[in-house]
Amino acid sequence: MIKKIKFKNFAMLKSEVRKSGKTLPEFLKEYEALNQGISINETVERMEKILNVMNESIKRGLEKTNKSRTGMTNGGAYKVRNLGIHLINKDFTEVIYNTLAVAETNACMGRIVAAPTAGACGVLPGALISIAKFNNVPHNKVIDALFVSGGIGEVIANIASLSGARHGCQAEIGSASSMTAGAITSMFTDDIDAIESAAAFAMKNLLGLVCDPVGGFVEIPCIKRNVNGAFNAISSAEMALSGIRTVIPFDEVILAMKRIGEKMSPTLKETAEGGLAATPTAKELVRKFKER
Amino acid sequence: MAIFDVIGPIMIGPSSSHTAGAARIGYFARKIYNKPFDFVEINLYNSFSETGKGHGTDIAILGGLLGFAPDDSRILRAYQYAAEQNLRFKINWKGIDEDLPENSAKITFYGKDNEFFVIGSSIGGGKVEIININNYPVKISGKHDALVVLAFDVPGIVAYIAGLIAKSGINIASMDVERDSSIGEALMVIKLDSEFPDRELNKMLKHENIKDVIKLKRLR
Repeated sequence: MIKKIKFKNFAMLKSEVRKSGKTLPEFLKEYEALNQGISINETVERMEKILNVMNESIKRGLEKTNKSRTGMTNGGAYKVRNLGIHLINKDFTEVIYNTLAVAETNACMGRIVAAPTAGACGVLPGALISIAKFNNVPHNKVIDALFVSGGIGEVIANIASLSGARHGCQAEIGSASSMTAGAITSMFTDDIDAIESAAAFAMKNLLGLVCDPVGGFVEIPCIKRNVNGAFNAISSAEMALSGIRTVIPFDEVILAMKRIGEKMSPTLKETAEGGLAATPTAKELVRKFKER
Repeated sequence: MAIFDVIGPIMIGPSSSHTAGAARIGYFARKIYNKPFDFVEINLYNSFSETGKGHGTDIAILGGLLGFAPDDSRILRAYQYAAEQNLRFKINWKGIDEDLPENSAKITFYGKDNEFFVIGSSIGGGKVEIININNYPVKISGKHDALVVLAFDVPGIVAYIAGLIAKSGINIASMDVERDSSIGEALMVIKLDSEFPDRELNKMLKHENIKDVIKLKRLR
């Protein structure tokens, strides 16, 4: 019987991958198949289903004006798509509205894939699927990239956590962005050092981000932070692909995220008691919603 | 943690704890109480009560009670489906209760002359735990196949049940027994490595000191 593979940090993952002579996505597919007790084919099929749901959530978010139960979300993706102004170019705008589409679909009770959480669900599909489209990346490479994003997320979960309630938004949008940066990079290179650097850059850029959702709802500022996470992932991937390498190893960046999260006041960790949630306008919005 | 725990679950938004977890609690409660009833009362506590309206906690639990999984879009129209199926229900936003965990719901099924309740708690990432059944503290997460046995608290009853499970060739992963000496009853939660056969279940139900047995399948 083949033994389960385990890795508790990125350094260990890297050394296991190198020992195996496989690429990172090949290794992770085998790892997950063993984990779930299913075949590699079934593992890939499950990821296909996930990619389908991601694509559907983009489509749904763009189709119509989504409105959330609280009324705080109201068709942002649709507006951006139909604006007709492109401050950089059409592709840049497409990343904005694809990411918004998924995050708004979530806020409006549509079907999404939590990646790693529901609040940060727009980053990975918004950036990865758009970049794959612009660069004609083959379908199987996109599936592989999703395994890479999952592997990176697992490393973050092993060292710190993926929960805003534990480590603030840096653990949600920060992790999503880090996972996405590594995943995008893996579509263009097998170099695991490049993948690590991309993930590290993205996480470093969002260290310290607090979780302060208005009224405790996954809407303000979460939805637009998804867009921030998506672009942060893309620029991090591009820097890593150019050969820039992280000086601080990814594992240590995650450890820094964890320590910052531990020092963060509980009012800034999903409790809706501090930050934006404590502004007069936020309080008024919540009061009005509760009265309805 | 696994890759499909990081990239997943597939769910109806907006919150894994307040929406997906809530749907799972409703779904689970209905599996635990799998008998006809006249009326169901859903009490929401703590964060479920404080932010549940914006997160759709009410329709998620109701959808779960209608048998919808956390990724089933029918959750959005749960009120409509409940009306169509003549499911009578009431949702109460109960506010803060410090004796209960952060995201908790108590679901009470009312029959003609009986009532049955389940308390569930959403513990994050769409995962849930059933923490109480009819005043018996339990801990059921859906990770295992399980049997919930309500029996008269007489000597030998635990051995009888364990013996029946052993005879059917199934391994017991864990067994918790909670006694209520005031009424002379005990509730057992037995987690199993595989599904308990219905034939053996019927045998168990016929025993004079066993009041009820609920078979729970492992949640996907």
